[in-house]
This record gives sequence, C-alpha cells and structure tokens, in this order.
Amino acid sequence: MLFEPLTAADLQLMHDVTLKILSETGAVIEGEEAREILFSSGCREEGNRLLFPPRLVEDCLADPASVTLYGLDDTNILPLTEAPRSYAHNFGSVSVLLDPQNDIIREATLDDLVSFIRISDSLPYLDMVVPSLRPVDLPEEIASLAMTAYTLQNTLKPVDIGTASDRWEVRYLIRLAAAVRGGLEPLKEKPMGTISISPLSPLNFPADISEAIIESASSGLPITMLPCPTRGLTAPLTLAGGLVQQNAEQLAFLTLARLVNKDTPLVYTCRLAAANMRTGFVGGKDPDLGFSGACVAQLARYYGLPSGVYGMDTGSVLPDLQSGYERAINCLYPVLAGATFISGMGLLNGGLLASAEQLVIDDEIYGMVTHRQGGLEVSEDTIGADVVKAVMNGGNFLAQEHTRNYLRKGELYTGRLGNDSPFEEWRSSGCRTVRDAAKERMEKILSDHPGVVIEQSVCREIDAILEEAKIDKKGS
Amino acid sequence: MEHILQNIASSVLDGKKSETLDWVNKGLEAGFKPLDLITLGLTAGLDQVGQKFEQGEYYLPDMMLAAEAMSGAIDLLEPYLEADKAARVEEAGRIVIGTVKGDLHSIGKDIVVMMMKAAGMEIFDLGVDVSAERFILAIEENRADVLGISALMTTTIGEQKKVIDLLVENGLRDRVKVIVGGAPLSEEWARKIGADAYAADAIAGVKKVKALLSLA
Repeated sequence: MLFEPLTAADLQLMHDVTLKILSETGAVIEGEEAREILFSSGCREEGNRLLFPPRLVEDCLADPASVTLYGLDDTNILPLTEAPRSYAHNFGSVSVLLDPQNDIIREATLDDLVSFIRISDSLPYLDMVVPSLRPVDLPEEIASLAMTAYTLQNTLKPVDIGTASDRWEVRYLIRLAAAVRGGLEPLKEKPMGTISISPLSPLNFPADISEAIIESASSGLPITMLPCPTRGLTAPLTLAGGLVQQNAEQLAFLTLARLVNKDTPLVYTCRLAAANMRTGFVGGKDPDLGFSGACVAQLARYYGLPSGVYGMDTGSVLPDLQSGYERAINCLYPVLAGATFISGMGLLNGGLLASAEQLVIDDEIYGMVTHRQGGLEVSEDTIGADVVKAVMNGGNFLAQEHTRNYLRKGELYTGRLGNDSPFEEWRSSGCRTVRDAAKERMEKILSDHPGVVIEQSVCREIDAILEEAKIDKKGS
Repeated sequence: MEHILQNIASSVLDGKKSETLDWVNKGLEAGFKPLDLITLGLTAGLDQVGQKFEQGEYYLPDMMLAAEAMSGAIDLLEPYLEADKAARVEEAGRIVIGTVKGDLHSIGKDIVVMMMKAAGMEIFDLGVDVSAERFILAIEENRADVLGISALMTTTIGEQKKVIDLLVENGLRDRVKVIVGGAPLSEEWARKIGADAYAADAIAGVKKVKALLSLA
C-alpha cells in the first residue's frame, strides 16, 4: 500500500514532456569524450546544446540493472531494486556544526567527522553512512577523498563512496573502496556504496562532470545520479515543472552512463527544493520537500529504478520543535511513497549545519515513521479473538501468551529517547528533554564504539593512496 | 507630459519590459532628456520596487523583472547617453564579480549582477570557475573599485581566501574593496579571510557595495 500522488496519466505526460525537452531544447554537454559518444548514438547539436532523440533515451531506459549494496561484514545488505522498505542515511559534506556541548556554531574538525561516522555506524535505523562532515583540518586538495577514507575505516554499514566532481576523484574514490573490499573485482561484485555525481541545473553537464560519469560507468560500479535543482532559481517554480526538469536531467545522465556501459546500475536521486523567494536561500522548511520526494520516488519506480530523496531537513538552526515537525512531515511523505533512500539525518538549517544530537533524534523519528511501513498483518492470530474470549472468561490481557509473543515480535514501537513517563516521575528524574537524552545516547555510543573497524594493513594502504593522491594533485 | 514619466515608473514597478520600452520611446519622442527619463522615470520606479521589497510585499521575481525592465531601458538610452556615461559610472562604481575556481554556480551571482546594473553600477562579470589570477587581471584592466567573490559550495569557499591572498601579494589589496557572498558563508568567515564585507543576499549586497563606496 503506497502513497502515490501522481496518476498514471500524470506520469505519462511527465515522461512525454521530458522526452520533448530532451529532443527539442536539449542539454549542455561538455567534454569531447561524452560528446563523441552521444553524437555517434544519434544526438545532434543545436546552438550550444545536444538534442537527444526520444528513441535513444527510451532504448537506454530499457532493462535497468538491479542494485544491491553490501556492508563490510555481510550483515548489512541493502537490496535497492525492489527494496522491502525505505532506507535512511545521514547528510554529506557539511563543514559547520552545532557543538552539542554549548550550542556554539563552529567549523568541523577531523575528530568531529570520526565521531559522526561512529554514531551513524551505531544507530539502528540509519542504513547507509555518508561521508558527513568536511573538516577544516584536512588538506584541501584531497579533502573529499580523505572524508571517504575516514568513513570507510569507521563503519561496517553500506556507505556512500563519495561525491565526485571530476574523473580524478572517481579514480581515487574507487581505489579507496577497492582497498577496503580487497580488490576491484570483489568491489564490483559486492559494492558497499555508490558514487554520487551532480550535474548542474538546468540541464548542464560540464566537462568534469561528464568525464566523472564516463569514468564511473566504465568501472561498472553503481552511480547515484544527483541533480539538485532549486524551484524558482534553477528550475521552474511549479512543483510539476521542477519534477519534469530534474527528470530530463536524470534521463540525460542515464543515457550517457548506459551508452558507456549498458550494465551501469543507477540510483535515481534528486534534491528538489524551493528557495525562499525573498532571499534566495534554500531553507529546507517547505512541506513540498517531502511531497516532491514522494513524486520522485514514483517517477523512479516508473523507470524501474531505485530512488533517493530529501526527507529530514529543516530551516531551524537548533534541534528544536521547528526542526522536529519540519523533518517529521518531510520524512513521512517519501516513506509512505516507498522511496528507497531518505536523506538528511543530522542536518539542520537547510543543509548548512550538522548536529550530532539531531542525528540521534532522527534515528528516533525514522524509527517511528517506518514502524508500520510494511503495512498491518491482519490474520486470525493477530486479531486474537481467542484472547478476548479468555479475558472475558475471567483472564487478564497481561497474562496472555499472545500479549507476550506479539510484544516480543515488536508489535509496539518502544521509543528510545522521548519522554513517556508521568510528569511526577519526569520531574523527579531531572526534567530531561529529548536533547538531554540524545546527548547522553551520543556519548554512550561513542564510548561503546569499537573504533577503527578495518585491519591495520588496509588502513596503511588507504593512507598510501591518500598520500599518492596529494602528490598527484600537486603535480597536476 | 508628466504622465509619461509616471508610466515609465509604473511599468518598471510592474516589471513589464516591453511596456517600459514603449514609454521610454514615447518620452524620447516627446522631447524628454534621456537622463531625466532615467532619474525621474526608471529610477523612481525602481526605488518603489525597493520599498515594496523591504515592506515584504515584493519577492525576488518582482525585483528581477523590474531590474530587467530597467536595464533594457538603459540599453535603449545608452546611445543618447555617451557623454554622461563616464560621469554616471564614476559615481556608481566599477565592480568586478565572479564565482571562484572549481565552482560553476551562477544564479546567486547573476541576481547580484542584475541588481547592481539596475543601481547604475558598471559590472564586469567574469562568470563562473574564475581563477584567482583572472580576478586580479580583471581588477587591473578595469580599474575596479569593488571586487565581488561568490562561492556556493563548502568545497570551494576556500578559493575566496586565495583570491584575497593574491590581491595582497600583488599589492592591490588597498586599491579595491572586497565583498564575498554564498550560502555557506558568514560574517565570521568574511572577517577571517580578510574581506571588507559579506552579504547574505543580493539586496544586502547592493547596499553593502554602496556603503563600501560611501555612496549610501
């Protein structure tokens, strides 16, 4: 049972108009290699844009490759194609955080990054770990690679291998992931994550981006297609218009990737947001954020692709009430619509700020939002007419096997953070807020975490790759 | 006759470019001085737009459409204004602006450029992915008063500091005021990298540039 806001006719119209945009308006595609590939497949140039024949796009859409991500220890396996539920992950690449000790906003350090990764590794409802913070104390030229390296060293869960902005980064990201998996072939067989690549909106693939796509697709590793249009600034203000434009960006991306390698597994991911039309700032508090995620999930499913969408974001600077209601509302829509990935755990202020407390609270929100995602099992046994009879005959619900069995099976959501005690008890135990509870939990997680989860020899290999990248980058 | 100036102002206020151009042409036919059409018509309209924006009635698209109508009209009047042009620009300032190296985001900068043009400033827009060296060259070539450096991504804001450092190295830091902008920035960041000003949005940007030039 899915929430599907778009009708079959809506989807058909959106698809048709997308093909029309690609064949009549086209996309800016730079980079000789990409242009060669597209020209030789029937694209032609008009002005500074490449026009995509509808037939070519339709052909590339056929038979999408399925995707499964594998954590390092094989207990965390996420089938993305026909996923049984929605998965959640934290934010990526934020350089400023809200210090949980004093609510001071400050730049993130390497220690913060490691803490965030370890917390993400430990939270039960967080399924995939994304290189989250961009610390100021990492050498700038290899910061993106180092973020991935520290992520890979501190979690056994599936990860986002990284966001690549050029071919060079793709090569090194793959080397880092391969080092951890024990070689390129094992990595292809069991990828622990995808490489994310963002075109520019509207419909613009600079040379570095098209080369990154070609490099990733050639490797055979899964790619997250990640357009980030802003309604009113880099896409039409209307939600329908924003959805169709990003769909055209997805399909141009997909066409290039699948022409390079027909078997490229792709994740249809979109960060469609609206700007504050007075300031231009994308604050993240718009309820359309979640609703658009539901639509994106439906569009992706229309093409047989897994999806990734915004969910947990807020305009608020603090993990407060505003943050709570905005992220809960925006998370609920895409989960009900069966989106594959929900993003944003730990994110504040429209993506500008990170918060470890919020990360822990988001685990709670996500647990609640997904508690009934599988639907309700209605059977003779779950209904338990016999139990009613037994109690009416002089029994007690508490003393029924049925009660205990279903309690153990997880029939009730047992909150971990929020208060559910009567006020007297709450008062006598120190009037704790959910933020206090989150902070405490965060500290416990950090003291319990085993630390670096991969072998010393692999760590040394990773260090060597980073060192090589540093020298390589300086030389280039 | 007066109604021509009023209609120019109100078509700018409505952000209607073709109407604005029609009324400016009528103004020329009626014998108005081009400079009067600007100050008493176009600028009067744009001032009202600014007020409405500050009062919360107008949004960015209202501003942009008004600015486009305004700059379309200025283009139309340009040939009649050659003599006055130098004086106007001298007054309003010469701005070199661009998005830093490695960053291809242009929309924020484009809004700022449009607003500055509408305010009568002379803009040298270097586009996106601009190296520190190109910023320096453009400042020298165009005798800029102000340098605007834009960056949107946490991965590229470091480039802003590189540009300012290179200004210092080239002995140009005292000759030009520097303003920085971009979503991940803050006043603190601007101070840290040695910029003169930071603006959170385009409207604030134009105001701060005016303040930097001591015009406001």
